Amino acid sequence: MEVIETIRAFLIKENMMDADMKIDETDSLLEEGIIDSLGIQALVAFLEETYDITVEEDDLMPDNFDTLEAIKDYVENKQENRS
Amino acid sequence: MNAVPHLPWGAWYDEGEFRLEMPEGWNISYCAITDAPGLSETEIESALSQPIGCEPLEKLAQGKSRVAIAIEDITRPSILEGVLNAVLRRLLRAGVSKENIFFIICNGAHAPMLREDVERKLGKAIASEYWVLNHNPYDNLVDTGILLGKTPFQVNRDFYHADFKITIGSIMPHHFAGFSAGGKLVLPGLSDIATLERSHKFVMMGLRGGVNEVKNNKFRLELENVVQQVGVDFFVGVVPNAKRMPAGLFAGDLVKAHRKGVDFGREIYNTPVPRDADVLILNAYPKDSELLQADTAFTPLKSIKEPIVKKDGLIILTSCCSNGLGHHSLFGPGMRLYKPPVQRRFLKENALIFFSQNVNPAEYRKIFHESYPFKTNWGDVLNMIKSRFGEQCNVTILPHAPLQLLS
Repeated sequence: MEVIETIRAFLIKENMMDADMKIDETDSLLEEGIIDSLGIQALVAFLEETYDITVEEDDLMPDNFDTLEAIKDYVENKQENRS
Repeated sequence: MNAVPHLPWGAWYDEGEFRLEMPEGWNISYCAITDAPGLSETEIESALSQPIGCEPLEKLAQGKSRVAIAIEDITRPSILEGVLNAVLRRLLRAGVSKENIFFIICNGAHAPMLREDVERKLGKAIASEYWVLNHNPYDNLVDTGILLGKTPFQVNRDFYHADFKITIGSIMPHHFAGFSAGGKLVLPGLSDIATLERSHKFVMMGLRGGVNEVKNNKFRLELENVVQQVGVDFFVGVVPNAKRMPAGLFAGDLVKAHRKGVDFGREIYNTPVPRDADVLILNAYPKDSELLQADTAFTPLKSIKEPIVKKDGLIILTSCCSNGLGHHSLFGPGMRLYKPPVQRRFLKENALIFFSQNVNPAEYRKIFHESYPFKTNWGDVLNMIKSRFGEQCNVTILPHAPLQLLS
């Protein structure tokens, strides 16, 4: 949950979503209008810095970044593979 | 008023020209593609006789009992009738019986083609003699066993079960896949809706891909890898000229033939342009049949790094939109990837006006942001230009914008 809350806070801070917006972990960030092509760049940079991971080009696919749950899974997998 | 070259107008439905009136004194740059003449029947036959990276079609098709010819839909510009007839002649010569050949339209998320559109795209003879199937991304699918990320890739059942698969389509600039056609005819053209959605999300998120980038285009390389697993036995890539006729035909291996077509496309679509436009006119022909395809007219702006319009300049998007709003079962209003219109970031400080006589304001507002004026009268557009720039104005016209690669 910590990763999800951190990402949610980031999206709010960057004005990608309103603080009172209800969004489930499995809702599509794209379909909800929260993230777009510029937003994804900012999100990737944030994840790399916050979690000390490198997002490879091959990882840049909607499956990894379209929902809060997918982002959490991706970050945790990257951290596990690093350790 | 002085006359300027006319815009090509109304592909497939209202074929003609739109006369652009401009005042004396404006500096007009009409920037057409380099272009090439259409192929003769002999030249089409010659190209098919020299396949790239595979055996001749007649040899490959021998003994086949179920031949699928998958072709692009009518939102794509190429006039294919001559090419299709040449392909059919070869299949029949190979011993495939007419009853064992069928056509399938690679609709992707576009509208199905009804009889009149089938006649336009395939020709009346084929429409009256062959089974023509529209792909439907919601049904008649088969699981390929291939995973795209987390999405199981399903493909059209009739296509999958054919024992000989041919794909035919236009090789032209594409804002994301680099150039169109090749494996793209199958993925997303013949894919299930979940795969289509995933594919379009790549575009919306701006992940990988880019216009005129093919060799290292991860989006294209991934889809080609998958389509090769499904198997395409023979690919026919057509590079359309300014009149939508095949100017080049590259047949054979799905990837090798496609790349040859891309090289040729880069030659004939190259368009030198000045860098000092006050006004840039982007005409959506030859993809001007519907409003939902109008964005393809922005392709040239993504093909060049430096700006070609001055800061605070004006961009005018023109499209016949013969079919009005059009149809897209992912991006269309109410569909799952539809989003209320926003201002286009890539326009930067430039204003945008949209001109069409076949779209109504309610439809327009579903697709373009309210800050972009919509005009149905060319005189109104001229008045807006005059009020902004007066008697001195540099105007650049790109008459075939979806095809044009700027230099």
